[in-house]
Amino acid sequence: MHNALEIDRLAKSYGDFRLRDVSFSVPRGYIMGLIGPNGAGKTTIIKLILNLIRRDGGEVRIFGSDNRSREVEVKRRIGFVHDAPCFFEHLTLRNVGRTIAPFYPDWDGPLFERLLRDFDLPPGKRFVKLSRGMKMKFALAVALSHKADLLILDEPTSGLDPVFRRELLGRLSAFIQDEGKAVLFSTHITADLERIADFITFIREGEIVFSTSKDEILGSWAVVKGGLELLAEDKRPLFKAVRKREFSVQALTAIAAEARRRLGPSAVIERATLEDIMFYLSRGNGHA
Amino acid sequence: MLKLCYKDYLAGRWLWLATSAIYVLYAVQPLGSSVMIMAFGLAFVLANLLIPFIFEDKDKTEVLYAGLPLTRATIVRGRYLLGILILAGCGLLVFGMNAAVGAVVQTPIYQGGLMPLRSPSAVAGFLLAGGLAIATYLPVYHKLGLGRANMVFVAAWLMIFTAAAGLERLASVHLKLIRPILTAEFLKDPGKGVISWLEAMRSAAGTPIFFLAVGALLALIFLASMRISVRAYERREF
Repeated sequence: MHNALEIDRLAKSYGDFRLRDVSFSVPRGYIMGLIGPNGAGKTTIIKLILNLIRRDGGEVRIFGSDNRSREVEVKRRIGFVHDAPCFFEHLTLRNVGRTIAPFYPDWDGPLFERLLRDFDLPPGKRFVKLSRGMKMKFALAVALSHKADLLILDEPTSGLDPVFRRELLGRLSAFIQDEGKAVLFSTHITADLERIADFITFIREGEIVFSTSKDEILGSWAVVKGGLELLAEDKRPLFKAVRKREFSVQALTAIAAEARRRLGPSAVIERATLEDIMFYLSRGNGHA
Repeated sequence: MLKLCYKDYLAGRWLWLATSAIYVLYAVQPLGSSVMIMAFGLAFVLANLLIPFIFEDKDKTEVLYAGLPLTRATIVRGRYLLGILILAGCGLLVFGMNAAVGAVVQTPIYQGGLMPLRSPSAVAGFLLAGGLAIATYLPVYHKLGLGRANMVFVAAWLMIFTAAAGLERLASVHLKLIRPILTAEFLKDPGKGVISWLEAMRSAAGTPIFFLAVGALLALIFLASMRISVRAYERREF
């Protein structure tokens, strides 16, 4: 089985929100970044992968096994870092480890102790006394201590200082050096993904906008800046989203080479960052 | 399932110790009413059951455990096992304290209030009442979560006590229908009254059959309750 995670036509509705036909896969040995604005459905997808909520349709396969019919076997291979780690707060870190270790046959106690040391986490300190960054480190230490093959991280870097963000990204890069492992990383901080992700899935209003390799995205998507003539009928199909100002237009294109050829010197074409893409697709007037 | 109980033990051990200390302090008071002692014993069981749930709710660890390699059914079964262990542990403390206090303090009040509570029938009554309380609470908890389950449960108990008070009132005006069951003697001390019923059953059936029947009844109640809980919990979304 080549893919660590395969999601096929996943669907879920609650209230006004609908997750529709979400499909993407994370190959072994790679990091997939999951991006999208607030309320797009990123956390819902992660909850569906972990069976925290019930899906209405579709399939989730982890290392080839269905996440519901083979739930226990599948979850043994997943390490999960929640955006707000939930452990018994009054317990010491060592005791929190004791509450979790029995559920994982592959729990490596010495590795857990070593990770606590590496992350400067005193084992005798109570969880409630940790800063947000330290809580995240601890959650990561727990996820790594049972030798997970698939790490799922939900907004792990939000609110963290740049030093720890870099440290975390380094850990993730080291994690996938074993090519059997993979990471699904949901975040708002797209700069983190530009640094380490191999694939990007962009989700908006419960639907996948794209799911492809980061290099392909950064190579083919661009921000086009020019005059109002960019809004001409024959040029509009070049753009995925447009933001019009009084005398100028900024637009996002997914076919940078074609835009460069057709627009020539009449427009400035700059490589789009993931943040640009997220911004334009979320806030620009869509057109494709 | 014992793994689940172990994490609850780690989370709740100090508060369990505190509630036990409170119970011990309460039990050494000169109580005349066996129904008060029984009610406190029952409250002791439920309070101890709630302690790990309160921590789970406060720290949102249900999300963590629902994400671990466990099925929802296993999590539910773990909570029932915890309930049984708590019932057994509380039983040991309740009856141990009754015996100890009764042996040390030889006053008429103690003898009057505690003697019937040291009988095998009192043990059966305690197990049935505690088991029934756990078996009725857990499905509500799994369906509604801690906050709303507690409200529903408290409301239900208030209704039961109100109904009991109403029955007492009815009995006091000598309604013929209930007089054979709720006699004036029963209403004077319902705790002893219940134990007398159980004692009559034990005498009629013999002790082994009586306890087998109590065990079978508890097992049936727990199995039915667990089935409802699993269904409810499998539908819960986090």
